[in-house]
Order: sequence, then structure tokens, then C-alpha cells
Amino acid sequence: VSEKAEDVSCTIRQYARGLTGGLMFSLPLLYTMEMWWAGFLTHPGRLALLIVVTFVLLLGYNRFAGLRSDATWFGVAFDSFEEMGLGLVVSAAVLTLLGRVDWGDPLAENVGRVVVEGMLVSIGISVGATQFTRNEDSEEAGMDDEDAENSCAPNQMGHIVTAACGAVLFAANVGPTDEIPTLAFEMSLARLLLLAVLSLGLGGMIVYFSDFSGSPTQPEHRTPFAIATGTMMSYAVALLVSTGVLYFFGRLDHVPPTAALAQIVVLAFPAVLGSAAGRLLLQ
Amino acid sequence: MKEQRNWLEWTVFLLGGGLVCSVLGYLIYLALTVQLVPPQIEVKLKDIVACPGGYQVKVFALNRGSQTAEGVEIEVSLKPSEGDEERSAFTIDFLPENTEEAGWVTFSLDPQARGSELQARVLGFKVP
Repeated sequence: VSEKAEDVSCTIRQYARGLTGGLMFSLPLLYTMEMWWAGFLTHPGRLALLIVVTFVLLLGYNRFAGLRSDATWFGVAFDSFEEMGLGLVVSAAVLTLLGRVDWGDPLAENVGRVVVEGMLVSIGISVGATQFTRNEDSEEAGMDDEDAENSCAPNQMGHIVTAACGAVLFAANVGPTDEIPTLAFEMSLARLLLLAVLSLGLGGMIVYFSDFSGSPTQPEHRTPFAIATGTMMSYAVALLVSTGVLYFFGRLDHVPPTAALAQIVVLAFPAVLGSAAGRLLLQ
Repeated sequence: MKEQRNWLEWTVFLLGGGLVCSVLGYLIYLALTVQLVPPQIEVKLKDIVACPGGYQVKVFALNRGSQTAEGVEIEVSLKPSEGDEERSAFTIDFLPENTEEAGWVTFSLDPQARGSELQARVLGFKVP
């Protein structure tokens, strides 16, 4: 990272990349009815929890996969606040434009809607800002290569955080819909089991190929043991994220454990695609 | 602190941080103070206008509780001075707290005719 402050035009380009990413990842949800409802159906305590969890994810992502991998925790928090603030503003602006937020309605309802959508936008902004930077200008690209070789040779914690971000981006897109409980209640046990096996298989495949595409030779990352660990880790993160997303949307309230588990398995399928692909974000 | 930020980044950081903290604070305040009062729905009838094939009446529903009501069914009955009672109904998908939604019911007879009586009531709803 340069010692001098980056110039303003560079910052603007950075924000533009972030906003593009934020909108790309969250647009399906800005257009989803269940998400607008979630804004006023969700208890404010749960919304506050959502903000805290998202902030922790942003901190982790910016720490391990962000542009400034030598950043201090202050720098990481700085970026996270920027991204979350932008996410809220973008969410409020788009929802107002779409007529989903009417500022004559009670404040609590509008804040709920903006927060539910804004959190995903801010993760999108964070991922967009780093991912769309590749090969943009040689200076920054060079910095990325440096990161890959450097201390940030992706450690386990970094893998878990990026896997979680990837899983959230995928799981949140289908998580609020009524299709999840429908599938969960109508699929037989055998099918659910097959789905879980397929999720593991796909996760393993992505983990296996992701190690080829990214940083050059790191043979120890391709041993069967490493692939198996990576696969398990991806699926474990996918299950956890699915649980969190379903809890947030109230899908796990007042349902028997088997029904809860069925929904988690159903949602973990899209989630594992994100969590396994998450490691691509690190390289 | 290694990296330095320019004025734009500082502005976005300060505004963003302020926004995030105030939203979080507001939600925590709500979470601590909110009391779950079941929906209490008040129905009001307003404009009556002629429409093709009859008359339509605008109905306002206001939720005075602190919980959202889902699938609110509202029925309006018209008792003419003579003849059979006419009933019309409509459903509001979601009625959040302190929110007013409007809908229309239609009748073939004129509700403003002498001796006619209009009555509106909430048939039922669920709390999601």
C-alpha cells in the first residue's frame, strides 16, 4: 500500500467497482417480495444482530481477502464502515426508487427494509471492490500477487471467512423464499440425503479445481487429505450459514428439529456452491 | 497506522460509520422498548362513488397494534331498507403496525339510498 494517500479519482473508481459488485450480488433480493416483508416481520433485535454479524463478516473479509492485506485492524474497520454505510445508502436509494420504501410510513418499518437489503449490498460491495480490481492497474494487481505469496498465503481462518461470505451471497438469494420450506417438507428422506451427498460432491469438485486456477504451484494443497478437509470445511460453513439465514428469516421458529434440518440441507446446496467458490476469492 | 486516507474516504467513513451506528442504536432501542401488542384493526368507510355496474366504497384499515397482521379479511355488508343483504369482501396481504391500507368493495345497490345501512368488520387475520 502506498505511503501517500491515494488520490481521489482512484477512490472514486474503487467505490464504483464496489457499487457494481454490491448491486450485482444483491439485485435479485432487491426485487424479492419476501425481502420487503422481512423488513417489518423481523424483530428489531434480530435486525440488530444481523448488522453485527454482517460487520464481523466484513471485518474478516477485509482482513483476509481485502485490498490491503497488511492493513491494521483500524484500517479494516475503516473499510468495513465505509462499505456498510454505502450499502445502507444504496439499499435505501434503490428501494425508494422502486417504491418499496415510502418515507411517509412508520420509520421502524422503513429502517427494517433498508437494513435487511443493505447488509447484503454491503457484502457485495466488499467482494466487488476486491474482485473487480484484478488486472485493472498494474500497481494494484502487483499488490495482489504480493498478497498471495506473502503472509496471507490463505490460512484456515481466511478460508473460513471467505467461504462464509460466498455462502451468504448464495444462500441469502434463495433463503427468504417460500420455496425452501416447500422443498424441505415435500422431499423424502432419501432425496434429502442424496442432496446432501451431491452438495458434498460439488463442494469437493470446486475445491479441487479452485486450487488449479489460482496461485501457481502449491502441491500440498492438492493432496486427497487437503481436498477432503477443504470439502468438509466448505460444507460445514454452508450448513452454518444456512442455519443462520433460515433463523434470521424466522424459518426455524416453532418447527420440529427434523423440519429445521430438512430446510438447512435444502439451503446448504446453494450455500455450498458459494462457500466452496469462496476460496477462489482469496487467490 | 500505515495507510493514509484522503478526504473522500474520510467523509464516507464518517458518514457511513455514523449511519451504521445510529441505525444499530435505533434498532437496539426498538428491541428493548417494543411491546408486542396483537394487531388491533380499525376499519373506516369513506368515499362512495358510482361505478360501472353499481357502486364502490373505499375502505381504510388501520392497525393500532404493534404486530403485523397477515391476510386481513375485511367484509362490508349493505342492508338495504328492503330486500336481501349484500356482502362484499377483500383481503390485505400484510398490514404492519401503525399502517393504513385502503381497498374497495363494490355493491350493486346504492349504499347512499334512504334506509340503507353499511357495516364493515374484520373477519380475521393471522400474525406471521
